[in-house]
Amino acid sequence: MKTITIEPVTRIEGHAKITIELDEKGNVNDAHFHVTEFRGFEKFCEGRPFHEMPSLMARICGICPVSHLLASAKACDDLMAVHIPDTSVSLRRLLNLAQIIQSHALSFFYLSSPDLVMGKDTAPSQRNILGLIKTNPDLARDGIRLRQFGQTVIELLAGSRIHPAWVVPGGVNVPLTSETRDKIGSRIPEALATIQRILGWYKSTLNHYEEDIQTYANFPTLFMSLVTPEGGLEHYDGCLRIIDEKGSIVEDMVDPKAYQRYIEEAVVPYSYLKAPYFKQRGYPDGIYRVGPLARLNTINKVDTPLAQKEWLEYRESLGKVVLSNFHNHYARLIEILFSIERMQELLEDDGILNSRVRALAGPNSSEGIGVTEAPRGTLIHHYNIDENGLVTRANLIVATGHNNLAMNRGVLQVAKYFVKGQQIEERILNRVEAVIRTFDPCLSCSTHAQGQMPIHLSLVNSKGEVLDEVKRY
Amino acid sequence: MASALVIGCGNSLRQDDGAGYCAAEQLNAAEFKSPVRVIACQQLTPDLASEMSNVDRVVLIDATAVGSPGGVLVQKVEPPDRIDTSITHELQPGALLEAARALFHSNAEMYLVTITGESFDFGAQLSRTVQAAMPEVYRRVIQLLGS
Repeated sequence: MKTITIEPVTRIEGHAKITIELDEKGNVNDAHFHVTEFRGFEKFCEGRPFHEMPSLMARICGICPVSHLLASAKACDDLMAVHIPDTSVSLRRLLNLAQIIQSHALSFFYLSSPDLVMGKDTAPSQRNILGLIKTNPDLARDGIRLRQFGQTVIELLAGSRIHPAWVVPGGVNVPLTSETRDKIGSRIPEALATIQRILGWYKSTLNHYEEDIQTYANFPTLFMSLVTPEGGLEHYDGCLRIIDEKGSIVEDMVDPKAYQRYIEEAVVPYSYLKAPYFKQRGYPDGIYRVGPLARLNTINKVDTPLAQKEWLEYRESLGKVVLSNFHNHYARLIEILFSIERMQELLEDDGILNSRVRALAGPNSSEGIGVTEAPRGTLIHHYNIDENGLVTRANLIVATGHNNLAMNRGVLQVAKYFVKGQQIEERILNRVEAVIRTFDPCLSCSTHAQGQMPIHLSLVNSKGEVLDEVKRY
Repeated sequence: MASALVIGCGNSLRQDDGAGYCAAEQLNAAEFKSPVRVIACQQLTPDLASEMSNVDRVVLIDATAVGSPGGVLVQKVEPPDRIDTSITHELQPGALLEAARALFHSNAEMYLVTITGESFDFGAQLSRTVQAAMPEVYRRVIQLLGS
């Protein structure tokens, strides 16, 4: 057996190593995406008072602290057994939408569009947002402005862009003022115009990426996401829906708190990242995907007019169930459009200014589960507490974890297509990186790990000997 | 409309690395003769380029590990001849200036005020050496702002 290892993977959040194994004939036999850090958030929060959990969990990641804050606060609402005020639900939704906008903008414009515009074989030192400024300044400008819009809304609502303390168990700690509502509202027209311009540009370029579409994690899996009770696009509440590769509903209107009936987590020897799977199909056949692509696959509709139109066109051109992970890029853009429209609807509701935004209570239940859709996919926080409200157990299943089996299969698919011989060519490295980036993995979240995200690719033969190795730091 | 922008960056949980962040928070409460916008952030990001579009002068404040602890240095920032980076988590002041010029037609002059840290260990407090030097940081920034 021969193995190729890629380390580090650039422009993803965290640190990854990839091993490609060759059989005795030199053909690709298997591939593994290793996550090599361990941080242990689930363990060190044991013994802490439950009401500290949102602030502690937000520290898992500097990109998506808002997502952890929201899922954690929902789990704490459940521990308190309270029904939080409707206004605080709307305010949390607003914050989540802003998070989706800024995170999707980061993923699409900063991390992936350099590949799309400059080509994957441009030198990595040039193939980044700064290179994009020279190659396509209009796109770079739009990306920066959109991300800034999302970040600014987070800051206006929650007081700071990173690790805000606004979301608390029972709701939020400060109501929205009319001045802040108007400030956010005044920026919406520009954001809407920008994303519509970008969607137009992206659709016009889709036929340039045919090989990538065919080879980037383009295989049948299950898909899972939250949906509204009517099957619409949902990011904060709702029920879980799981569909198969043909679009048939496998499980529907599942109470997110019952997730353990459907999802099991496997431990794999080559990674600190666990590998969740759909129980009924077993491991590893229960492979499923979450995230923008999965969300647009599971739903029946989008409840805002412009995004609904785009989603219909997306389905019309790509099919009822879109299997290629490459189309996560397209799905992200549609979700940005939806988020801006939904934000506008929420701000136009006078109830958004209501001053009752928090339910106060102590611990009333020994178990709490909070589930949201983070930008990268379904996020589950599950806590147990003792009679004093101290955490006895915490379990987190994050989007990158849900996608772990699919990422491994995606790397294998690309490797089988591009690896010829016993050496790692630059183009292999670039394509393996690019397929991983379509998942927009956050390894800081998935292992709750720290550190930057370089890539290490190893090519190993059937005897376990390293034939070639490339490290990119 | 602000005529100047002050950006203080650093990690406030790594002792002296947070000197720039801490300076920005202090300056945010200060009164200036002319309009000044102050941003405290963990690191430089491309988003900051658009904040530079309508100001005449930008002052960055950051900690450095180079030099004698507590030393304060002012440098004029120029756009680099070439920008090479494969990690998006890193943005140099010159690259930020270049982005602001290329994308947002900024004509701003940029200055970098650095303070040499003594300890970059875990902790929310600046070292005594750096604390003692912070008034000099404020003096230099205010001097650059002409206030």
